[in-house]
Amino acid sequence: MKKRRPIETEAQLLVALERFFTNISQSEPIEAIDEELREYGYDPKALGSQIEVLSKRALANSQLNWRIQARQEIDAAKEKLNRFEYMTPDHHSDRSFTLNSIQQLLRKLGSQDSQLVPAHFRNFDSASDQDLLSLLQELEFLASSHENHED
Amino acid sequence: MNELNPEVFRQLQQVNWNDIGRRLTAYALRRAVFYGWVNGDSQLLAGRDFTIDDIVQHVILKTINGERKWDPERGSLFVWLKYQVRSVMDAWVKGETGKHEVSFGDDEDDVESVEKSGVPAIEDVKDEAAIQPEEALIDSELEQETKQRNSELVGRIFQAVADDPKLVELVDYVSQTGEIRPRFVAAGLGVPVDDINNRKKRFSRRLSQLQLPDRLGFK
Repeated sequence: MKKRRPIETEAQLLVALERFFTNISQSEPIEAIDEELREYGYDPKALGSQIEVLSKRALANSQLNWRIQARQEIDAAKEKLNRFEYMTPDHHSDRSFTLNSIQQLLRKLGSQDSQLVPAHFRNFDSASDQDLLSLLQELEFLASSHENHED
Repeated sequence: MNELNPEVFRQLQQVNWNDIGRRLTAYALRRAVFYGWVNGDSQLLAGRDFTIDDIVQHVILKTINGERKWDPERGSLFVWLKYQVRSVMDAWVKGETGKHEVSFGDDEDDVESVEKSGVPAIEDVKDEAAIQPEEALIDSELEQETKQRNSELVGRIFQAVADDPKLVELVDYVSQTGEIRPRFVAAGLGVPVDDINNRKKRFSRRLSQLQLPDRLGFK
């Protein structure tokens, strides 16, 4: 433990007395703190609630909070995607079947989802088999999500 | 950049702000009474248009939005917040914007963090012999002001305890030993800690009943 030197000047005395008489620890009973607040005209409950509301609002509006929430949403979506069982397996290699399925799903989903517009105009002829399969699986996932939503 | 790390943010979300807010307000009140910035009738700091709880709320908001950065590795949030309150309070009373920060100071709960923090301890406060001649020349007027203020404040403290032998005993003990932790003071005087805490409250009450000093504690 740090040994304290005796006080030699008025400035040191003032600092020591200030720290001794003003310090508050977390182990002091809150009832005693409240009693002190009341002596100076504060309503401890109202004061505590006001500070709590202010803090919670600040935490909720924090940029970091939005980023954490967005990260959680992305992680949840990824997990859902990973758990989804595709109708078309990963090793499927019939290109014409894949193209046909994509067209069918685009027709089905196109009117419901404006985000799919770019997919309508894609040049499928130049896409690789793997790209087409990946697109088909994404459309299957979207179709399933829409169905679940409608249910 | 004002950005908290996610772990600090997570810890801030777990805090009981209601409890901490009340404790910090009481701490700020004690300091304001000690320096004669308020008396028992007011929550406003003398000559200023902000209240004690404005300071506490300011510190909490700046901490949550990352403008004042708490580092959990250096000590508890409560200890850190107390010293932010102290820093802002002193700066606002001086009429400054409260930009400067202090990290930690002496605390009954967290003596280790004090030693890690490098915040001046009582024994680090400059005495006359340590002041360089150039500094003394430049700051002589300010120095004189500070000495006068310190004398007035110490005089006020002795005035507050004069007719209460238990308070005189307490002030004498702290003055002679430099000990500021209630449990060690209690042990030194051979009384329970509760007794010391009650005397501290009585001291604040007596001090708040004295007339406010003519001028603010700070220039």
